[in-house]
Amino acid sequence: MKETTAKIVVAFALLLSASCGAYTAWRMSVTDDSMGDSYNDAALALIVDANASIRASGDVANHARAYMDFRAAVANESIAGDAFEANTDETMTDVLAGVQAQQAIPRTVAKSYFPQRFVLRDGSYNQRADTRANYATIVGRRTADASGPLADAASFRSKTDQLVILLFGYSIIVLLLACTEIIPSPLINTIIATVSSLVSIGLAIQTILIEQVVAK
Amino acid sequence: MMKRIVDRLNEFDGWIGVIIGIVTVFAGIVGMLQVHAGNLNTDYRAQTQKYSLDAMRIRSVGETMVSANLDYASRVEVLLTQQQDLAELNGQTDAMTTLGDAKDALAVISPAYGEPYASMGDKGPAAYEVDVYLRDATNAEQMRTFMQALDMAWDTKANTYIVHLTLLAVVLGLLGLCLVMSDIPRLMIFTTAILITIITANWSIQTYREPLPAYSAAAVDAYVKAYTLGYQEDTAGAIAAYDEAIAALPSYGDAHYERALLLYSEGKNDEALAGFAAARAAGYDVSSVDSWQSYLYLIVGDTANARTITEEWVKREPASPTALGAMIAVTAAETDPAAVAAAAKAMRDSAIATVAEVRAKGNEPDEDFLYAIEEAADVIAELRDREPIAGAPERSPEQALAIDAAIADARSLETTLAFQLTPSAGTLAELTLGTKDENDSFVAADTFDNTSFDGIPLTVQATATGVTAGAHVLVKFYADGYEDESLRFISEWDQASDGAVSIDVPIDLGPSYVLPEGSYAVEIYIDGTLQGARMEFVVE
Repeated sequence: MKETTAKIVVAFALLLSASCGAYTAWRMSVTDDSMGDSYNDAALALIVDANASIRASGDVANHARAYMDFRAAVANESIAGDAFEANTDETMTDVLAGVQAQQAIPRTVAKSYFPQRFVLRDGSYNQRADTRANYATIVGRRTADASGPLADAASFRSKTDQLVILLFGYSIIVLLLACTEIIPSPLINTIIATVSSLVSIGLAIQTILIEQVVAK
Repeated sequence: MMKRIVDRLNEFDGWIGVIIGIVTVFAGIVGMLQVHAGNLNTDYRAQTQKYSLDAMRIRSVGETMVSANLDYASRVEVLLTQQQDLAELNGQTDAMTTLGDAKDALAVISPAYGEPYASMGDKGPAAYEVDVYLRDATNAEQMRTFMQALDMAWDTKANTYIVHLTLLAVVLGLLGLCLVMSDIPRLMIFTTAILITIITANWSIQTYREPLPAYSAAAVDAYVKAYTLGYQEDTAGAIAAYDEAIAALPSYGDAHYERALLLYSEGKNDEALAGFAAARAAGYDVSSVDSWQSYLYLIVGDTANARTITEEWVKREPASPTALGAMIAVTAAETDPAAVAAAAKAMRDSAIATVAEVRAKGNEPDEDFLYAIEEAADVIAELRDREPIAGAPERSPEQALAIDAAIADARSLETTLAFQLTPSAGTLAELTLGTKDENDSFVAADTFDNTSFDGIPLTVQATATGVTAGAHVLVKFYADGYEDESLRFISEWDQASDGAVSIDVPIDLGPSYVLPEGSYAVEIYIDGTLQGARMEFVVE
């Protein structure tokens, strides 16, 4: 084995490992960027969820207050009605009718401040259903579930961790090729360079395989 | 010698190549560590964001629902109860039944009034709050705190590794230069490269070994359990759960702090002091710890330690009314009346300047700021009224007067700032509490019964000096030591500027309302300045 040939093989191996290493570094950078994007998507989903939850609870709380007012107003109107019915004093008829009409006002006002479809037969108010309805309206078509983006981010993180190990492998190859400078045997240097080239190609293929793993 | 080294180095081109390879491998290792740290940093940052948003969402939603289902429902209940009482007074049996049914309906309208909370009595509301949001919000807040600490720790590591990688890039550049240089320049550059490599290697190892903030899921679970038990006034259970949390994570500052608060509530002051010291050592918010340690040292009679803590606190937060109030309390426990007056003046000047600065920007001081001034006065008064500790220096009459003046000054300061008043020269003296009889004559009294104020106001007789017409009059009522703002009376001065005056204060909260039995106190402020001392009375 000639020394010149060995040097050419070593130079080729260096070129190949540098190129494959650059490719892996590029793909790692892209994966890392995707991880950041997924985390951003997750954060946006969490914000949408928080915003919708808070606004929905505000609406439902207002509805619940209005319904409580309504029930208190119904009681007072009923009392005024009973007083009117029980009255036998003709001079008081107009006064009591007026009181009854006055007491009807809070009831009619309160009634328009809560959705009546959530009042159940037993007189309770279905806050859960009201919350869900409001939440769905506020979220609309936006994504409010962060679990998907978070799973994606975890997957990208795992890929980045694997790719950086491949990069470390390239640095070992560089060290081996650097050792050819102090090894006098052209045969051994050629063997080192050939193995390094094959390993570099293997690492590049591994890079592609890691990237192709679909997030669970 | 030098020449020999230079000659040998000139022959080592091949070895320099190998060293470049070794440094490349080292850079690869640091690169792996950096990516690992960076990934964890990103991960913990995302977790921090998630828990921050969760905490905000859960607390906000929970408080909103509690305000409707508990606070508003209780308001409706009070309204219906008063109407029911009135109906009873008027003998309206049917109306009583109807109003009673409306009250019962709250149980199906508001979850807080339904089961299981309805059968829990006084503990029902707290249990409802815990179930609706407090447990989850506390958990999310604690997780956020831990995740944030880990986020910052990994961020520091990741950034430090980047510095190492930069240094290694410089080393590789220098080693590359070595290959094209010879003699002394090669030696210099080679030596520099090796030195930087050694320093970087040492630094990397230190960074790798740098301990991370401790985290324990079991400790957080125990903390959440303890906090919610404490909220429901199960002090013994809460302390036991805090012990669990601390056993799982000895450096858990929040657990030490909350546990110390409970120990204080149980009267175990020495243990509470030790707990606060542990919280401080664990890095808990130092101002809160200062506040409690300063107060507790005064309670146990260790004025020297109270002063040391408070001086440090004031040095760190010179505009904090809480810190400045604590300094008044410290001087009150000592023997120099001039020091008490100076400390009171320091708080007054600081608070006035702070509020003026806030208002100059078109804002209003937050409630906590004003409350801190009021609380400072309450704390000083509470310490003043405590039984003297054995061995403590006897309080001189001058010292007692200075303390009373400092308390009145703080209370006046809070009122003046809150109502944006300018203190005036008008004063009231010789204040006496009582009511008026059927002949409209004043009858001095400090003990009343439930019917004393049935259409009859509380009356304060006093001697006025220079009170101008239209001056702001504020009367505050305290029930068992705490102000009941629903009883506040605000009006303008419409009596003689000088001489004997009689101020009628109506206690009118509805036709069926009676002042419940208990210990009360009244304070009168003219243009924000407290007149005389707090006047106490009892309703039997």
